[in-house]
Amino acid sequence: MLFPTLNFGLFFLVVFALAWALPARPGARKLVLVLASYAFYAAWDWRFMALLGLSSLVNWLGGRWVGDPRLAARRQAVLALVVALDLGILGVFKYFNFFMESLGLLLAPLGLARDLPFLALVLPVGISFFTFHGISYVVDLARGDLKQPAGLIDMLLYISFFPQLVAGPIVRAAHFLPQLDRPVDPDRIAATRAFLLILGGLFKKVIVANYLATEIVDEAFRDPSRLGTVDLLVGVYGYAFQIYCDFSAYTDIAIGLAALLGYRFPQNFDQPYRAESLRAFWRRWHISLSTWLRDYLYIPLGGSDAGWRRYRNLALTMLLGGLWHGAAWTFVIWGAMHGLWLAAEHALGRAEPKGWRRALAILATFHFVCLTWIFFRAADLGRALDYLQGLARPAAPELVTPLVLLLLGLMALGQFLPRDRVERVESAALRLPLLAQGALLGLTLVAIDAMGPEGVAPFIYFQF
Amino acid sequence: MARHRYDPREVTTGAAAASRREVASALAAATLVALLFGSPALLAWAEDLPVGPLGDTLLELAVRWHDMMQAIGLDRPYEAIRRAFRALQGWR
Repeated sequence: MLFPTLNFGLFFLVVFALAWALPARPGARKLVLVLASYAFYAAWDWRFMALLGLSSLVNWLGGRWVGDPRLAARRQAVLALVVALDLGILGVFKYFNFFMESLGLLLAPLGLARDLPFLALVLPVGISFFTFHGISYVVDLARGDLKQPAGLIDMLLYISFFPQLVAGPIVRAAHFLPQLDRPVDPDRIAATRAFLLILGGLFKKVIVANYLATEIVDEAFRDPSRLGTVDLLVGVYGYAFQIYCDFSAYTDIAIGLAALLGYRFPQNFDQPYRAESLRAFWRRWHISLSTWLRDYLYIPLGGSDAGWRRYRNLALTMLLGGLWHGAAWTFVIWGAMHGLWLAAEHALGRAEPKGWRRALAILATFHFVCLTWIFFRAADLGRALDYLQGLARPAAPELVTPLVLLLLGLMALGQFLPRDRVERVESAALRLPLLAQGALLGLTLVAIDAMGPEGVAPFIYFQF
Repeated sequence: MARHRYDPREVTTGAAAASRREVASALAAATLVALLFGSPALLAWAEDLPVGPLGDTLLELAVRWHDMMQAIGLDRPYEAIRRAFRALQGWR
């Protein structure tokens, strides 16, 4: 059930009505949201509902032990066991065949690769996200960021809450669970802001991401060896904005939906392509993942206090961040490139460029990120290298159209709009009564649907 | 190394508040407007439903609804936007 579909719209209207019919009965409300979230997940693949439940149960039980003062002496051991179980589930579904394949390649020259086992597994949608939620819960408890273990229903809801279930943002246990302890206020719904986030998200996904994909990106990456400089350069710019629009659309809609139900999610994107360094980029791109990796991996590894080992920690964190996106060497290379560049930036110091130097730094950072996107998007390493070679091939452009240039121009401009742009539009919208805002919402939804292509492609981050 | 205090920015901070009654009315208005002006989308959705008693009934209702909206011209803005965007898409 994709967000930009009528099926989801109808589903959400029912959930909204049920949830707000029960604000005075928090237990019943949470149960309704859990059932709705499992129904939402079942619409993808009902077989994995048990896996979602199992993951929640493992972390809930682990949390009870981690949070039990009588077991303080064994806290670290229990924590390690629960995190290992979380990563084990993720590893089996996501990485088992990748490691077997890589092992096979390694052993092939010795003639030993014939009998390696492979599993015919389907990757459960959202597994990387709900695994990180589970780890966040037990680690937050162990660190004392979360004061007490959650009840079972709260835990089930935290892991499965449908707006963020399949593609984030990664919501920390210490940020979300306390919201479930307080009753929601039926007179304080951030409706106008939520409508704007949802509409903005739908525009970015249905129009920008979909058309960039079908007009240029898919074709450019399918067979880069037959295209030349202009098509491939605009193709990778197209992918940079396609993935930004696709993913930030999902999280904007998720934040808006959660707000309509009375909950707050963290911001996940902040105009990332205006970053003047890769460090700044990671403070603006998939913020919930980059801060998660910082707090749950980089700092436990020793962070930046570890002398020269900070560079190793950075490279390792980004390498694993790359692998988190997918079980393929292209993602490993993507992570390694980010890790090495970040390490170089740390080594060179923290000078903030001003004026034209800042403009150059923004351009350089954007182009480095685009270079890494080639590995991220390419189907395999061979095609990534073809793409790089093709960038130097003179040929008349075939794929660049006015629509592609218009969408790229609009999105590039959007990166440099004021940071409070949503608040400004909200102030203007608030001059209308909420009923008129609703009518405008309906009209805009119709207009977006009219402009969109037939059908909607799944969000890119569903595969992770 | 000192841990960062996790206090994420939220894009809903400082947002204007509305009551559930107001929000429900706004969503009802949005649904009504979308039904009136989006009958081509509704028809396309119904055509994709699985064949069966429910799907067939919904398709029949969607066809009738779309015919009514067509008769009073409410489908025209949708079709005009679609045509304009397709023209932009086809521009080379």
